Amino acid sequence: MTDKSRDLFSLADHGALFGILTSIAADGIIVIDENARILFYNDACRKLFQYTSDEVLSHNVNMLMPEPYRSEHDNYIARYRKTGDARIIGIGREVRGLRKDGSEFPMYLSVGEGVIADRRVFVGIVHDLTRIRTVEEHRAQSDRQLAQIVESSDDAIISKTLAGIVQTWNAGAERIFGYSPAEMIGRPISAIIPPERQEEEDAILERVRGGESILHYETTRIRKDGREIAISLSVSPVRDASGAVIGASKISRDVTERRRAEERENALQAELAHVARVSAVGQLSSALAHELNQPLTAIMNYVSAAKMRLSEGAQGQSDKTVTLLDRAIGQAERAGAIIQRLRAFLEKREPQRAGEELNTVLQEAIALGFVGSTDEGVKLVLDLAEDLPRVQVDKVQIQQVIVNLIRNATEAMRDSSVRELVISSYRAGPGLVEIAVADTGPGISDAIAAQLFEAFVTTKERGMGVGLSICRTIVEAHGGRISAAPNHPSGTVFKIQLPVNG
Amino acid sequence: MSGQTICIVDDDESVRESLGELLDAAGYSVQSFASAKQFLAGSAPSACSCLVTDVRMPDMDGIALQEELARRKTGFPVIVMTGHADVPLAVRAMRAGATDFIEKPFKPETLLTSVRQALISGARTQGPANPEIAERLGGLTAREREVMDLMVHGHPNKVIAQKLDISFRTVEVHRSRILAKMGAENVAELVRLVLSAPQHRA
Repeated sequence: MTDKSRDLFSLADHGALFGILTSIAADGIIVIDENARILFYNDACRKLFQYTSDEVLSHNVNMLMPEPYRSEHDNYIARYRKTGDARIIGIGREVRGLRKDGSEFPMYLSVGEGVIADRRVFVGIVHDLTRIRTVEEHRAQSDRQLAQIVESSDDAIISKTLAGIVQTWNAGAERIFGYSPAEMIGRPISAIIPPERQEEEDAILERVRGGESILHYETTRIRKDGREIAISLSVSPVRDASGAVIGASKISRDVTERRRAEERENALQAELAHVARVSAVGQLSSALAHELNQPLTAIMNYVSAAKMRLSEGAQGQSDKTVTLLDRAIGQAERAGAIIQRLRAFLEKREPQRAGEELNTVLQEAIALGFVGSTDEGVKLVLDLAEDLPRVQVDKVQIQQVIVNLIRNATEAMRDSSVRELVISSYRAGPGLVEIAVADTGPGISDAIAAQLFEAFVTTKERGMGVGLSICRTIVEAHGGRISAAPNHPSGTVFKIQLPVNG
Repeated sequence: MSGQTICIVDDDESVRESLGELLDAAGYSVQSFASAKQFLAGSAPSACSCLVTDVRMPDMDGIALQEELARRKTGFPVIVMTGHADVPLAVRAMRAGATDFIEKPFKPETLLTSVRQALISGARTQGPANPEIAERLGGLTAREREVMDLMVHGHPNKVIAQKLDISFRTVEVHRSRILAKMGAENVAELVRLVLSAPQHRA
């Protein structure tokens, strides 16, 4: 006891202790009497209310209160004294304070009562809430802003639990999927997922559970009206304060229109490619007619010769006649093959890819593109690598590119003294094959080279300038590249690089 | 007929070979060459009674071959074949002294007839001057005559329209009327007819 009593403050120390406590307290401390007159007002109060002690002591405490507290305060004390009905004493509540300059601030007021020297006193402790309120207000405002952004977004923004139950559903979601928030919140997200894609949703949730985000995943969903729509989906995990994944937020964009536009563009490109093939054949028509004339002439010669032999009726002529007729048949087949190749080339068709032998594709294209070129004195040199892997290509479109390059090359060499067309195929790296078409023409000027593959750039008097731009479109649609470089000593080499797996 | 050697020059193997068979069946002896140079290199030109040659060939074309033969003064008749309905070429071949100009595909009988006539008339006469031709030429209007002259000089319709300052369509109308009046099936035949008329022999 003696030890302990030595540690404790003596009664005489209490006055000093009170002084210390009230002056260091960050909260305001006010003591009033039964008539609400201020008896004590600490340093912190001065900062809070801007009044000095002299300005407030002996004044009614309601000077520190804005309306309606100010008017009610006297009644409140009177009622308490009469009925003991405490509204605040021993409870504490949030009220507003009034500063000397007339401004108000939020504060938490705790009130207690006591008796000092037979006088009943009330002690109020004022805790300033300005900072907390500002932070809270800030947070609330940013929440409101975020909510507005979410609400006004064209994209569907949805959050859901890891079990796939919808928690929030914005206006964009309503517009895209047709369901109102009332119809979806608290319900499974599966309502908008096609049955065959249910597993996909499970897989996505599994990845999100592992903390992974999925960006711009293209898939399909079903609207309330049953219509299927194409969407681009981004999914991110939602975490609680401890960082644990508790749900997923999904942003879906309706890409149906974009998808349709892409389909329209593809159809247009196919159409354009077809028009280009028709036009290429149009330019080849006289050479093709010549190509057909040869076997037709031969057929007629053979058959006439056979007929003459038969009408002679001479012995030992039948073997000869059979030979002549066989040759006629062979030539008829040759003519048929030309027509067939032409028909396949001109056919209006959906683009379709298959594993093709590159050299076969090349040779067929050469048969078409090189038509008539021998007559014009162009020498063809083939350098085709053996054992090339099959390539996933649309045969007709790739042939179209090669025919185009061959025609350009032969035209370019028209006025050259050396006319040699070298076509080669080879591996260009892992998973890559390349075709090169090299001519000995005058080459391409730097000005043209820079925009060689642009549409409507041409050096030909009658050219539209779409040939090479279509070539580029086709090659790039195959995931490949087309380029041109000077040939040595003169001319140009066009290279088409294609990935084996498209 | 026998003892007469027909030489064939054509770079297309099937045409060359089938033509050989045709002429062989018709009783001629035949020598075939894949190029003008091959033909000129050997002794064939001296033994040749009639030459049937393609016009468009790599290295040396039919016209150049004709010119070389003219330089050598070989004198045998030359029949020119073409796979292209190429009027300027036909005109050049005829002016270079071809006896006949035949478009592929031709009826074998047409070629045999052409060869037969060429052998009969020889190189110089280039076919009998047909008195009917002069008459038919007389039936053309002045403007038709102008258009025809440009046609047989190998000008395409577009150029003719420009030169005469008339529309393309008008040229086409003149053209079909000229062919009808001259009794020619196509421009190549027209060229042949016109060149056989005495006043057109330059």
